[in-house]
Amino acid sequence: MSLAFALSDLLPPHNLRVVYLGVISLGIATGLLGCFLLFRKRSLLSDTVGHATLPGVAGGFLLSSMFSDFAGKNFLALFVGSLLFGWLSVQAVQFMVRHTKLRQDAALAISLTGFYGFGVVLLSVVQKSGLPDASGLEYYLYGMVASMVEAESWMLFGAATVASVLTALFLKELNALCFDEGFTQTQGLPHRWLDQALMTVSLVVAIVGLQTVGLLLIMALFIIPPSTARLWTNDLKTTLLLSALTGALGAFAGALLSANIPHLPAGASIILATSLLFFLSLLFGKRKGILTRYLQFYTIEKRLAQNQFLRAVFDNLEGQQQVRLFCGLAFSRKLALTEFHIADTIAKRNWSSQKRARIITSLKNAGSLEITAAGRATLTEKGLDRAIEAAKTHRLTELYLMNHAEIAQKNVHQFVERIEEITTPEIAQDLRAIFKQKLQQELIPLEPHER
Amino acid sequence: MKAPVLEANHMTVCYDKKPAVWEASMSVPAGCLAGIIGPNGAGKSTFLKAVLGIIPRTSGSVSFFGEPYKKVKQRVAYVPQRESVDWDYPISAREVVLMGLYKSIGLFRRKTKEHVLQAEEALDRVGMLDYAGRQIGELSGGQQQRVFLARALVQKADLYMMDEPFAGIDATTEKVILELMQELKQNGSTVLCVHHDLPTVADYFDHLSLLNLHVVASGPIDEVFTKEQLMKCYGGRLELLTKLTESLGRLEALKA
Repeated sequence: MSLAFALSDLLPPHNLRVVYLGVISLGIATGLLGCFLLFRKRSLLSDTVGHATLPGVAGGFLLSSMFSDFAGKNFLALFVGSLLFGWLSVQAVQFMVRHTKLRQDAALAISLTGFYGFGVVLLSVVQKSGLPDASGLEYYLYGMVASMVEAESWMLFGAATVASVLTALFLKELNALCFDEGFTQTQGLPHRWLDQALMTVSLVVAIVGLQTVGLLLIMALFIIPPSTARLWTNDLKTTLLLSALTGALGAFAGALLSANIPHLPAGASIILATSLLFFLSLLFGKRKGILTRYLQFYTIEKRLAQNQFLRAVFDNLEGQQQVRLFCGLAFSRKLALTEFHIADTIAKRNWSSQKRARIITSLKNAGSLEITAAGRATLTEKGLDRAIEAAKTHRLTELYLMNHAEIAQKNVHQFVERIEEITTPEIAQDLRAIFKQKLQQELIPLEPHER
Repeated sequence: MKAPVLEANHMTVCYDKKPAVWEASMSVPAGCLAGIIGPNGAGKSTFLKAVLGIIPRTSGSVSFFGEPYKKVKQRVAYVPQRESVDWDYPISAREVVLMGLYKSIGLFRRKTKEHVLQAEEALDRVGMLDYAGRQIGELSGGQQQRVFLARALVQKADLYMMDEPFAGIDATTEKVILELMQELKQNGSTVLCVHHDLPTVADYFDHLSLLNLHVVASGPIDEVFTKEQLMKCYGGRLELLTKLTESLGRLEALKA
């Protein structure tokens, strides 16, 4: 008893639960369908459909108040009206593209503004009519979740289920259709009816979601979640999953805000929440995030500088021991772990003192270097290994550029200083394979381009 | 005698009432490497797409292996032009190749290990196995072309129709495609390529069609690849034909 009581205390009240079920369903449905619209380059169609429903909403309201006994907002009439005009707007776009030389973007804009303009006219008629409940139509413009009734919530849930089932059942075929339509056709894979089904379900979802998000902003729920997902992954299934998740999370957070802050339209708060997720992904996204890319760049730059430093140390050590790496002369590791003077070692590089300090700190933190006295240091065993590897890769790359890529000796020099940057571990491995024989015979000379 | 692998009869295709291919007839015999060449905008790609029903034909008929296309779809593999798809699409090279098996996997079924193995074998044949997991946008133009080829290979078709496979590729890819074409021919398959590079025509193909709005000539390479025929196709004499068909198109448009 007490447990059940505690649980129901934690859960939001029934009417809010209805709202949350509805908006989360809407987010999932638009997230999934939005991916396919994005891939098929039809994202803007959702905008046209959204705006074009206005005459349907206003007209549905007028008609239902004229012919129905209970004046006011008749949910069904408004739904059928918006569905009709949404469908008409799509037909108008397709007609214009097919039968005139208008481009898709122009056709979309004409359809959007034409229907929306008509809707504004009808809306002004409604407002002048003085019919009761006319102010409720505003919800259709900006969205309102508090008034969501249970039937609406279940419809959204149904829409999400249909979208999920459609995606799961026809993932292969949708994949082919979105990637390469011509090929899909030659394969005899479902193509025309699948495309139609996709469009129809998207249309219905957009219209069921109208009252929640508002017809002005419904497009955002179709566009922002897939765009957010694409910033994270290059895999179709993950894209779909992340997009649905973004839609659900954004819609839920937005509804939560709207329910708790008076007069905050749900559409606006839902889109704001979703946009926030997009913005965060833009910064941190694994695939194309701005900060992520900066971090990758920074990591490469750091590794480059570290390797350059270690290589300089190694060159000096070779000079001291009067041996040449890979020339068959014994190189004493023990002798190599002696103290060296930092400034002398990297005198050739024009590094600022800050940069020098940064590199030394990073090498010290990586356990490659130990500071012995002011301005003096020794390599650790690990640091020596890294230095040898860096020098080896560097020299092999030079050799490769000269022997295999036929780049003149004097030109190789231009590449040399950026070599660390371009020789990824993968490339370094390939280089080792190419020069396997020479490496075994230890015949790689020092700084080949200086010979 | 064996039926030709592809036979197009008096095929006309129109964009906006203006013919892009006009009264084109072509017959491709089995087991050859056939090329279609012609000047830019001559309707080569359009011809290929219309034959495959990707764009509608205004008139004329097409048959494959003596049968209507619908009956033998599985015996024909199509390699589209590289520019025709969005390379930013989230898909790996392996999955692109698997796409060639979607039909045989069937509706409501998932791919099995066997299918993945088949796809990887095809990738191996075009030297792209190492790149199986890469997103296709990360591949070079030539590598993308090879992935497309692998997708056609898994279909184990009898006729391979390729749209400009040699456009904008590297030497390695060119070699791979040529070897593959020879291999397919030896196995009794037929290859039909839309091509744009005149100097290589004689090296690549043994059957040739010259297309400029209509089929100027079609037959074994040594009969068709002659100075006179090329003059006919490329020499600008067809301008009058273009004008004629355009005025014909206008007339049709008025009627419609």
